Formats: sequence, structure tokens, C-alpha cells
Amino acid sequence: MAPQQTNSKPSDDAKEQPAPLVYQRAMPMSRGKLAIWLFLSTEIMFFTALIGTYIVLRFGAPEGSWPTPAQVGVMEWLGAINTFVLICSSVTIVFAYESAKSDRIRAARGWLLVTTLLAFGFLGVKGIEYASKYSHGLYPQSPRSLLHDRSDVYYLSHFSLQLKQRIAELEDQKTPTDHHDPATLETLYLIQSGMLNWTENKVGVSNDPNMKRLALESFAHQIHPLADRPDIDKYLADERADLEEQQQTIAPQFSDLESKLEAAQKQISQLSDSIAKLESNRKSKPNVNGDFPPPTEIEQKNKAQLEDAEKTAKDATESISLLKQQMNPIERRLEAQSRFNQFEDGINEHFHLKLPMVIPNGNTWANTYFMLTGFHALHVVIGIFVFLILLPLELDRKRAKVMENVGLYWHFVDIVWIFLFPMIYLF
Amino acid sequence: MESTGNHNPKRQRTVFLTVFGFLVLLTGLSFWVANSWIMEDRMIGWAVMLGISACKAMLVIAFFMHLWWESSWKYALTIPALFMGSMLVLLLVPDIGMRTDHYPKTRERLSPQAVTVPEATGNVSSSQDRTKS
Amino acid sequence: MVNKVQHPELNHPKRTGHPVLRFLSTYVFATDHKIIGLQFLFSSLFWFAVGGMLAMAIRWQLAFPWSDMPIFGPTLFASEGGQIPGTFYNMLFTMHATIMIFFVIIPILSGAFGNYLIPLMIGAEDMAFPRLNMFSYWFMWPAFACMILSFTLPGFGPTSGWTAYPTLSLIAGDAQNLWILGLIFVGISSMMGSINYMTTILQMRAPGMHMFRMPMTVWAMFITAILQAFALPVLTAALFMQLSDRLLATGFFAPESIVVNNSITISGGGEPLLWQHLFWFYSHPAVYIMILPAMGMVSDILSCFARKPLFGYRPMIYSLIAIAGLGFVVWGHHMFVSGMNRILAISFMVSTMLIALPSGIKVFNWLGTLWGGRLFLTTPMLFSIGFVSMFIIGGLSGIVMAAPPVDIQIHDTYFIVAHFHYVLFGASVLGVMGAIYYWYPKMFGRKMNETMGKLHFILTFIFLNGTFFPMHFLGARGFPRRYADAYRFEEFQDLLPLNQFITLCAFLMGAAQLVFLINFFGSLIWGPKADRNPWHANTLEWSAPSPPPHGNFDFQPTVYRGPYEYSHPERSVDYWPQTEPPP
Ligand code: HEM
Ligand SMILES: [Cu+2]
Repeated sequence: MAPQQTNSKPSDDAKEQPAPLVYQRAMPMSRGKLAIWLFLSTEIMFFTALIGTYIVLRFGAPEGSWPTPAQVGVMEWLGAINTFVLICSSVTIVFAYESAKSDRIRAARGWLLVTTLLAFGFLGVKGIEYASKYSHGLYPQSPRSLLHDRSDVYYLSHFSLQLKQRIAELEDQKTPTDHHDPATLETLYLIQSGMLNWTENKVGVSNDPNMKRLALESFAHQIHPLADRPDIDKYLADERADLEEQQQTIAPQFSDLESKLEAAQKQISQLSDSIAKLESNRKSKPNVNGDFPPPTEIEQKNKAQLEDAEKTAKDATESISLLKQQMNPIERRLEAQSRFNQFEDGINEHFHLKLPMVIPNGNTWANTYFMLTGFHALHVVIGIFVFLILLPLELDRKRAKVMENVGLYWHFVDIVWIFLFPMIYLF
Repeated sequence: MESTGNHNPKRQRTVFLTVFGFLVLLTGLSFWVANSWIMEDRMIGWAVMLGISACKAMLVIAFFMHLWWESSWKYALTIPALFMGSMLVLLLVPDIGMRTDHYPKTRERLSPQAVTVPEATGNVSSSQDRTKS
Repeated sequence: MVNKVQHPELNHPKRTGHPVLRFLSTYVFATDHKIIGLQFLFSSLFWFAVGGMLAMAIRWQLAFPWSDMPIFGPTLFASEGGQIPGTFYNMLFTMHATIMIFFVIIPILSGAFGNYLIPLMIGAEDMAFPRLNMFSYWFMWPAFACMILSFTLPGFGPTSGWTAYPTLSLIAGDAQNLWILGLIFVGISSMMGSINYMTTILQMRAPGMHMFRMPMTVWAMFITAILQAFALPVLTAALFMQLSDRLLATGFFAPESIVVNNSITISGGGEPLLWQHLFWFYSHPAVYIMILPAMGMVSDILSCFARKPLFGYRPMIYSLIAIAGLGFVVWGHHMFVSGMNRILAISFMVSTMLIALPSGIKVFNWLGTLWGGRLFLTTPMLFSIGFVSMFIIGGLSGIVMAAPPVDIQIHDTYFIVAHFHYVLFGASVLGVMGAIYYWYPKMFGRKMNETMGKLHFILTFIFLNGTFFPMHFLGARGFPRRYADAYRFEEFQDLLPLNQFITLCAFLMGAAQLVFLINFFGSLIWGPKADRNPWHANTLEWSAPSPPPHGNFDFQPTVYRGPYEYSHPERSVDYWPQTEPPP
């Protein structure tokens, strides 16, 4: 933009100029203004490509699958405020131009200053929005964004990857520094064992596609709920009841085994005591050759009993650890359920975790949202640059032309936003 | 030349302020539409909101960008771009805008398939160790 | 041609005092449109050589598959015994096309000749925005740097074809990023250029130079600039999206749940077809960007050397406009096999067929210009006649492919390659060559050697047809393009001899360009000095000094008539410069 305006006057590097040539023109306006209008037509095509991409991707999303503003934390009123800010700035830059045209330099500068401030205000609001998207993990990133279109195994394995990373990070830093973050290592472990591994297991073991789907969906729902899902609530409640029942049946077996083990251990200690006694007895009286007398019958019997008892103990321990292996996930699952089920806003939101979440079309939403608002914000930034260059200058009748061109550009930026506002915030 | 019209500045100013008022009003209107019964059919709601935006854009172009007071070159500079832009978007509709109409069942979102990849079940045993916290 | 003509420039008050610029401001920080035009010309010629080398490498692989490739083999793949890997072949055709299109044809047509000729032909002292013009050349350099750098990355460059279709381009190596960046820079450069050209043509015509007294060259440049201004931003937007797909994993062009190499790399949710639409929305108009200026220049050359007014000046202009307008709604003919909507495909077929009408009008008007003319078969004239004949062949094969049932058969075969080389090499490059021979005296103040020029034409013309005509047969047999080794399929094995013949012709055609190089650079030193108007042409640039000084004209040009008043019955000489006052 800048070179076009600065160049509309004859170049000043050569003092001695031949007589300027005479031209006829097709359009009743300065070259700079024509160039700006042409530039704006190319900008129309640029934004048409971007907005067109958004429209057709949005249009093609199946009914109801595009994230609602609430689901992705888009605040309509912020968009409305920004619309208002830009409309105001359009008016103020018109006033700046009109003042410059009638040689009211101070007024022109004042209006331009107001415009600049409004532009900064717009960027500020944009910044607030972007920050909230960032803090929720709703943005494209490499190698893969946190947003998944559906709860499938790719989602699970991505989740597991991210969770492991998060855990490793926390394990590395001994003292959690981020006081903002109430999620402790404990919580992450619980998510890992009580939810992730549980679901992985379920999906791996179950043969019923419907069960697999429900397991995956309920997992995604607990991480980041999108809407009320009575079917999932019911599924979780059923599962819980089922698990509690299993726990109930396993618990007596467990105590049985434990008492068995205790008895065996008691026996072992008794037997080994008596064996030791008998042996030392025997060894205290060697015969002539220096050999010890052979073990007595009692000793041999004791030894056999000891072996038996040891075997029993070993078996019991094994069964116990087997049972524990069975019990542990169930316990963890129940713990996870009782801990996490109460969060209406989901685990991710509650603990500020930024773990992968399922939002159908969430990616496409994030991509287009950042592409549209990003390129628009870029234009605002360029506008601000130009304003800052103009502000210290004498904005008099001679500069009015430049002011007019800059104004045209700024109005275009406003017009783009006029279309973006309903499309991003209200559709 | 710079034909911004020979209106006196006072009247110019009232014109600009009136336009400003309309712009604010129309913004409010589209906000209302978004939360009203019109959005029950989303296509109609979108069309209405885009129409309102088009009106706002027209106001800005006509008055703030002075096209109202310009001679006929304004058509030469704006119509081709608008025509080609709308051509681009319109011709994208059958292929991209209606793309999900022809998706096979397997690509439907939230469909019950998409399970059993060895990866996931493989992870189970390896990550189980961590449960001993 | 009779020599007696009034010299209008001598009757006008002299315009003197053209500043003499120092070296740096003349050649580096050049804002003079002529210097910028020459900068574009020389860098395009350089890239023409690079692109040509790549083409030779492609032909080597097709003629002698997997054998030790000269130059590239021993330097890059010595450990493999000089045998190139398949991906290297992909790089070759990708970079050949990219360089030829974005670094040769487009810059040489609108960058070099557009810059050089527009102000001279309309009687302006420079472009409307000289410094913007300088930037438009400077922005080519980051693009050059990107391309050169990409050669050094693993794989020796991008490998996704010049069309860069996702999802292939999304999983390609890092060189693809540089490719995208390079094209974005070229786009910015062309944008600046096109806005400058449009403003200059609209606002800086000499008194009397109405729009309908402008030479066809200027009209063609004007329409080309409009095409660039409206089509390029779409490509730029699409390139930004592809770049963010690659760097930020956004997935505008990646389908959902796409799994690459068993790892999750792309977020997806988009549509690969979208890229094809956006890309061809630019790239079909781009093929006209690559030929309209040549059409304009050829019109001027034909009329000059037939010593006849251009047949149907206004219809020529209207058909240019029609081609440009229709050119925006035919892009789908590149996508007939992409799985696009069938009804949409039919509408694209109809609009494509329609575009043959204005193209046909142009061809008939050129023939009408030649008809009954007093033909001077100078080198520029030969190249221009070559242009017309090659364009007829290329255009006809285009119409054939415009029908989806036919295109489904021959899409991505050598038939397509034959088509676009007939229009791009046969037409555009011959047109450019003609233009170089024609305007060389104006650019450098010396004439090129006619004998060598004619030799250059004849050799190029013969070997160009030897190279590209047999490709029609290859394509009709289904020989696929972009395959490093199609002979793997038994049914193509018997095509190897034909391919070897093509390669031979291609090498000879490449060698023929040496004649041009020697002529071009030799004439800079030894060429006979040229006066203002060596061809006795009418247009404004010929009444300026050769080469024109900074500021172009040493008098105030005023235009009294159209550009094609050759052999006017009431005049004793067979030309009538636009600036000559009426008697
Ligand atoms: C009579 C006018 C023309 C018609 C009807 C026409 C038609 C076509 C069609 C249908 C295709 C697609 C073939 C396929 O990929 O299956 C095609 C490809 C192509 N045409 Fe033309 N064409 C015309 C003129 C031109 C001109 C003037 C140029 C360039 C100066 C050109 C350059 C190309 C190029 C480069 C391709 C191949 C693109 C690629 O796939 O890499 N065409 N043309
Ligand atoms: Cu095409």
C-alpha cells in the first residue's frame, strides 16, 4: 500500500526532469485512488476464496454436527462489540478525511487517533477471544490438533499419547509449580487407569459393536460433554451397578483366600521352627566319623508338611494377586466414576487439562475460524501501521488524497468484518 | 476530479451519522434474527442474516466510500469482482457444499463402526503398569 | 518499403534533460520500466535454461529408463551407479513445470514485455508507480531463493507435481513448503505488477490514444493484468491454506480421519477436491495469462510484416475479453475424473466448448491478416506464423478433451502433454521468441542476425513438432504422464522406440536454442546499429529513440490514428506512424 501512495508524485531522486508528458485518463480520479480500488477488487477475490471455503465447508457439514457457539466458547456479544467498534472506526476515519479535506489539521489528527485507538480496541477483544480458545485447546496445531471428529480408536490412542506426555511432564517437575492447575499426578493416574485403560480394554475385548461405541462415546462424553446424553448416563450407571456387584462377589473370595494364606503362613512358621529345633538337636551330637545322624522320621514328615504348606501359601498368594489384578481396574474404575461423574463440564474443562476431545467438525470449525479472523486481523494490523505512519504528519488538504485512500482500505476491512460477524458468531 | 460531491460539510456529517445509526440498528437486527424463530430453518436464517450484512456493506460502500456520489466507473470496478467471486462460491456448492450428501456410510460421523485397531488393544497391557500408583 | 516518411519526433519541440543515472540506481534500484523489463527478461531466460535442463533429464529417463543419467547421475547418485530414484523423476517433472510456468512464461510475458512495452506503446514516460514496479521484480527473488533452496533439501525438491494435489502434497517432504512459499512470492509480485499495468494503461495514455487506438499488445497485457488481479488472490488463499495444512495440521484439504503411515498426522475434516477447485480457478485463467500477451504481440508482428491492417481489430479485442471472461468459468475441465458432480462437469464442458469460439475468431483474424498481404518473412514473422499454426493444433486438441467422455480416456496421458506443449511451447514460446527478435532493436539499439534467426526458427519448428506431435499417439495409446517407468506395463513396452525418437528430437530442439543464445548475446556486441524504426512499424515505441532514454520520449507523443495503418492507399509509404500529424 505505502509505495503506491508515495509514488504518485514524481520521483524526487532526479532534480533535473524533462517536461512531464501529457496524458489522457479513463477514470476521473488520481492514480493512487484507482490503484487502491483495483487492489480492493483483488482483496475481494482473496476474501471470497477464504469465506467461500468457510461457507461450503460449513454448508456441507451434516445438520447439527457443526459446533454451536456454546460448545466452542464463542461469545456472541464479544463479536457484536467488535462489530460496533469497527463501525465506529469507519465513521471516525470518514470524519478524519473530511477534516483533512477542509484543512482542519488538528481535527483530522484527532479523528485519526480515535480510529487508531478503536482499531487497537478491536485487536484487544480479538486477543481475549484467542486467549480463551488457546486455554481450551481449541486451535489447530501440529502434528495434530486436540479436536477429534468422533470417538474412535484413533482418538483413544491420541489421548493415551497426550496423557502419557502430560504425566511424564508432571513426574519430571517434582514440585508442581502451576498453582492454577488443580490436576495432580493422582488425577492423571486415575484418568489413565480408571478411564483410558478401562475403555481400551473394553473396546479391545468386547465383541458387541454397540458396546464398543457406547464405551468410546461415554469416554469422550466424560472428557468433554457436548450435550445431555441420557443414554450415556444410563450406560455409566449400569456399568457402575454391575461393577459394584462384581466387587461384592469378589470380596468374600478375597477374604477366604486371605485367611487361607494366613493359616498357611502360620503353619509354615510353626513347622520351620520345629524343623530347626530338631535339626540343631541332631547336629549337636555327631558320631565317630564326624557325620551327623540321619534325620528322624518326624523331621522328614515335618519337612514334607512344610513343602505342602509353602505350596498352599504360594497358590493363595498367586490367587490373591490374580484377584487383585481383577479387582484393581474395577476399583479404579469405580473410583474414577465416583470422582468424575459429578462434573457437568467434563474432566477437561474442570481440571484445565487440554486433553484431546471429541467435537464433531471441531477441527474444521477451528481451522476456518482462525483462518478468517486471522487474515482479517492481519488487515487490521496493516491498517494500524499505516495510521501510525500518518499520525505524525500534517494532515492537510494535500494529504487528504492519502487519507481518502487509507479510508477506502479501512472501510473494506470493516465490510469484511460485517460479513464475518454473522457467519462466525451467529450461524 | 475528486468528485465527493459539493455537499456542505454539515449535511455530510448528518448523512454519515444517519448511516452510522442504520449500521448499528442492522447489527442489532441480525443479532435478534440469530436468536429468533427465523433460525428454525437455518437456511432461511442464514439467508436473512447475509442479506442484512449485504445491506450494511452497501451502506458503507455507498456513503463512507463515497460511491453514491461517484460517476459510472464504480460499476466497472465493483461488478466484475462481485460476479467472479459469486461464481467461484456458487460452483463450489455442488462439490464441496453438498459433499456429505454422497458420503458412504463409513464416513458418517459418530457411526458405530471404527473400532478394532491392534494399536489400541496393544496399549492396554503396556500402560497397565502405571496403575500401581 | 519506401523510406520517405515524415519524422514526427523532429517536428515537435524537443524534450531534453533526461537524467543520467548511476550504476546502482540504474540496474539494482531500478525504477525505470525498461530496466525492470530487462531484469525480468534476463532472469526468465536464465530459468528457461534451468527448466530446459530438467526437461532433458525427464526425456532421458523416458528414453533410457534407469540407465546412467548424464550430469545428474554421476553428481547426485554416484553410489547408485548413476541411476536416479523414482522420486527424483517426480521432482524433475514438478520443477520443470513450476519453473517453466511461474518463472519463465508468466514473468517473460507480463514481466518482461509487459513492463517494457506498455509505457512505450501508450506514450507514457514510465509506469504509474515506478517503485511498486521495482518491488514487483524484487519479490521474484525470494521466490527464486525458495526454489533454489528446495533443490538442496532431501529428495532434491518438491515432488507433488505443479498442481500439488492433496493429499499427496500434504504428506510430501519439506521441499513442498518452499515450493508453496515461492509461489506466494510470485503471486505477490504478479499482483503488484498487474495493478500497476491496469492503472498505467487506464490513466497514462498519450493524448489521442483512445482505448480503441491501443495496439493489441497493450490490450492483451491489460486483459492479462485483469486476469491476474482476479485469479491470483484465490491461488494465494489456497496456498496459504495448504501451507497451514502442512505446518499446522489444519486439514482444509485433508479428509477426516486420514491416517498416514500408521501415525496420526493430519487433523482432517476438509475436502481434497476443494484444493483442485481453488487451484484451477486460478490455473485455468493462468493458462490464458500464459498466452494472451503472446497473442497480442503476434497480432502486432503479423500486421507489421504483412504490411496490412490487422483484420478485425475490434473483434480481436472483444474476443480477448470473451476469452478472459469465459476463462473464469471453465476450470472444471481439468477435474473431470476427480469425482466431481456430474451436472457440474457438463456445465464446465459447455463453457469450455464456448471458449473455442473467441479463440477461433482470433485464429481466423490472423489468417485474414495474412491473406493477400505482402509478406516479409523476417525472423519475427516466421515465429509469429509458427505461433498461429501451433496454436491451431493445440487449440483443436483442447476442444477434443473438453468433452468428459473423451477426457476420461485421455486424462493424465501424453495426449494432455502434447496439448499443453503445443499451446505453451508451440504457441507461447514461439511468440516470445518472435517478440524478442522484433523488439530487440528497440531494447538494445542493435539488430539480431537474420540468418541465425531463421536457422533458429527452422530447427526449433521442426524439432518441436518432432517432439510433441508423436505424444498425441502415445496419449491415444494410453501412455500415462508422470510415470518414471510406464514400460513396467507390458502394453507400453513397444512404445519405447517412439519415446526414444521424441527424446532425440527434444535434445536437438534444446541444442537449437544455442543458436539463439549466440545470436542474442553476440548481437549485443556485433549487431548492426538500429535506428528508431527499423521495421517501419506504426506503434508509438518505434518513434522513440533506440534504446529509449530514461523518460522514454524526446518529444510529447500525440496520437492521431490507430496502430495498424499499413499500406494506406493515399500514402506514398506503406506505413503511417500513430504519432505523425495528419497532413
Ligand atoms: C481452445 C482452447 C483450449 C481448450 C478447449 C483447452 C482444454 C483443455 C482441457 C480440457 C484440459 C484438461 C485435460 C486433462 O487434464 O484431462 C487442458 C489442459 C491443459 N491446458 Fe488447455 N485448452 C485450451 C487452450 C489452452 C491454452 C491456450 C493453454 C496455455 C497457454 C492451455 C494449457 C493447458 C495446460 C497447461 C493443461 C494441463 C494442465 C495439467 O494438467 O497439468 N490450454 N486444456
Ligand atoms: Cu484449462
